[in-house]
Amino acid sequence: MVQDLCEDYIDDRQRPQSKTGPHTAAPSLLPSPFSVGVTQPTTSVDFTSSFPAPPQPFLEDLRPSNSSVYMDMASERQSTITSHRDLERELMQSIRSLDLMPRSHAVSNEIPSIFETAHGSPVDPLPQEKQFFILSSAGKPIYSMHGQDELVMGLMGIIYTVTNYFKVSDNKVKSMVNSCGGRVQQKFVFLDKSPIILMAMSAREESVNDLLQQLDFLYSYLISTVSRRQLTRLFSNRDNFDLRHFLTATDFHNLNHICDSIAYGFNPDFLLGALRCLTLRKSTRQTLHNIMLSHVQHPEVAADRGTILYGIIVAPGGQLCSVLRPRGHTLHTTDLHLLFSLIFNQYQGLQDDQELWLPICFPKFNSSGFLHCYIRLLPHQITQGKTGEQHSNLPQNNTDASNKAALVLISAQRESFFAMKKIGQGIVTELLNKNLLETITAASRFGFTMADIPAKFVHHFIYKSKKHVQYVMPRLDMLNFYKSDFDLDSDDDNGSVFSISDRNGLASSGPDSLDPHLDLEKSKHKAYLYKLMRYYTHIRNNAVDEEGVPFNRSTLTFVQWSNDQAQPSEFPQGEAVDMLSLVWLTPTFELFLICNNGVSDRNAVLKSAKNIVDWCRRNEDRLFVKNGAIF
Amino acid sequence: MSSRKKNILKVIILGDSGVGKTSLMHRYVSDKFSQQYKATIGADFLTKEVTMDGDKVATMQVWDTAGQERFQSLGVAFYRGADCCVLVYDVTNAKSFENIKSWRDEFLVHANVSSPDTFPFVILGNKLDVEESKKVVSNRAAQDMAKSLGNVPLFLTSAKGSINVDTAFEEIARNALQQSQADADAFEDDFNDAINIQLDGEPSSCGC
Repeated sequence: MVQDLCEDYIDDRQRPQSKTGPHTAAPSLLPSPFSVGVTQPTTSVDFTSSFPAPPQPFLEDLRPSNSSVYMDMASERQSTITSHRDLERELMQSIRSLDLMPRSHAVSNEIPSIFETAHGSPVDPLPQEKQFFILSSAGKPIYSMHGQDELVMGLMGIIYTVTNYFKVSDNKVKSMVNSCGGRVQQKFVFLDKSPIILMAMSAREESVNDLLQQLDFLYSYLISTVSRRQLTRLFSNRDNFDLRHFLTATDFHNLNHICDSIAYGFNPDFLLGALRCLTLRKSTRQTLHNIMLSHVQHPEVAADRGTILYGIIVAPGGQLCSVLRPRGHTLHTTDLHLLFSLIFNQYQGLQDDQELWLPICFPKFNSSGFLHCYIRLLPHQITQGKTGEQHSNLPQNNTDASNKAALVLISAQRESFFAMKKIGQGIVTELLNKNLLETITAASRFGFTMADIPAKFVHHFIYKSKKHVQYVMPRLDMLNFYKSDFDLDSDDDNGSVFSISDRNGLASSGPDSLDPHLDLEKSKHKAYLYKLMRYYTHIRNNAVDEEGVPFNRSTLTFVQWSNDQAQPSEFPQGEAVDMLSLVWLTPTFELFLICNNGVSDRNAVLKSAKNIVDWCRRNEDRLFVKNGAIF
Repeated sequence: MSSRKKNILKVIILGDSGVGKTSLMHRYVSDKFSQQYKATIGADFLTKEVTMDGDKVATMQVWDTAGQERFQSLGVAFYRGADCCVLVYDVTNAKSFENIKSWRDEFLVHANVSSPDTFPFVILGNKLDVEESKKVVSNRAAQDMAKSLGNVPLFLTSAKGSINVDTAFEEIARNALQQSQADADAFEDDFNDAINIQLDGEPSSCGC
């Protein structure tokens, strides 16, 4: 079913009918590369006005209960080892057997809030919903996401006790569940990385594996700043060591940022264990690869093989553009997440001509030592008529510092700054000369939308290519369609671990923050992303077990939420909930798909899902970094 | 660039069952006393901010362990990384006094402290408020014992009568602070841990 793509055909085609999309109202810096098979947005009724729903009743349950509002359709897990067609037939049967009464209400392009959030606000929920603790193996506190020292100190003692209980009883399982009335209230997951211990608590639909991944990321952050060897050395022969005195204020700031973005941001990266990739034309990506390669293989540099290990160009939101790597070597996703998190949180204040030379321990690459990173932000390049002018025409509302791409060159040699600088300067100059920064800026703002793909009824999806360990998803627009200026300011990375955190004040210090209306829109958008993230977390965990392993080698699962129409009072706006979503896990890809509210036609949704998979496979060269630039 | 966090002092309280470890801790932390005896299960954790010598502020993390034998399986795990160990006996209970030395040895065996000779202990003889006739451990014997264990500070206290408790804990805090800072500066940080890279070696396992 994978068809060969006729590259030129699509590239050369002008966009004939995509003027309907709201984003096209803005001056288009780059035509969307996906202009074939455009469908109209699958909207018939816009429920935008009813969007921010305050406290909502808790409508989902981790396990099917006798609750009438939750109908878990996850039972239709089917194995498709044999062939696609078998899967289809089986699905058809299950769909028929489970066909529900068609709903009478209209289809909405808005998704309802169905997950319980403490006190309604995702920005400021009770600490009971999500907590992270880090302590030493002696039980001394190192970090806690919420709470003052005095409050958490006793909890640290209890965590310490539990961890040691697991150790004494040689328990393989390092988690506990607090349930009440057959419903899971909280999960506690422990990660013992002596000499430090980490614990996560969650009252959400996250699996043990999800929480372990999050803990591993926090641990990896500590290692990236201290290194495992140094950590061991610090605690050797003095278990009473207080690591908080060794960490810097920046470290705590970064830990806060990571925890906040895991808890309240939109981070499929952790859920999927994959990197987001920037959508670029195949030829553009190849040019990026070639530029990096040519500067590294320049005779002067190439003589000193081993100076440079990796080169990366990354767009805002941690979207991968190009990777330069030695043959046979790759960097682990977690290491890149850490790097991107630093760049897009901590170092966005860099001037265009400033360079950073930074020691980072990449825990999955080698946890015992440091690599050295040359980091340089790539200036915005907005050219008018290819003249190469910079900056002057940048719209006011668009100067969000988090929207700068970066070039990273990684070396194992501490003294190689000037060698890296030379390579870096060459690459940046060539990127500017070829107007590629403009392309990257535009691509990171526009990406693609649902309208680019012939998949009706679909609200949003995430497609992960397992081979590339990367994922793509349609752009997430802010909901303020009426203010076309801000359409440029696509806040895709809002709340992502790869954006500036609100806590350091940078994000809100711009002129934008004087506009209360925009602030409201931003917080609405944040709430929307948070909601979406919980949908994705929930549906993924319907297809995988607590260890994150799919129930079958291939799994296709529908999950449906509906409220009982006899009791419409459960929702403040009387909004009917009829949400359908789909998870499709195979050995080669993972697809997570959320439909518009009110869609119940499973055949149509399955068709859309197939269209998305076909589309993603067809456009693989644009959606993913395949091999990168190999030297 | 230091984060200016307060020092955390881990203090562990050991001693036979019923000598008043929990009572001492409650008297110190919340200035309360309860006549009722309730065995500690596993351990209790309490926190108190302390100011020493007028200006040094620290957070004391008191680990009140169970004295009863049956809760000892986890007990030794608590010893790890303590900054000071408080040994408590009951002045009306000779056996609890004799056991001080074995508690100390037990602690040193399991706590994995860097220098056992200088590790700070403090001995508390509790229940000083009871009538003289019931006291079976003489002050003299206690002082001799403290001296023989390496001039360990000794305090005769009463959790019930609130005698000497604050003084004792101030000494405990001072000792703990000293211990926690003893080798805190003995470490130089640099990023010299170079990684040997062999580019032509075997491919790494990571997928990207």
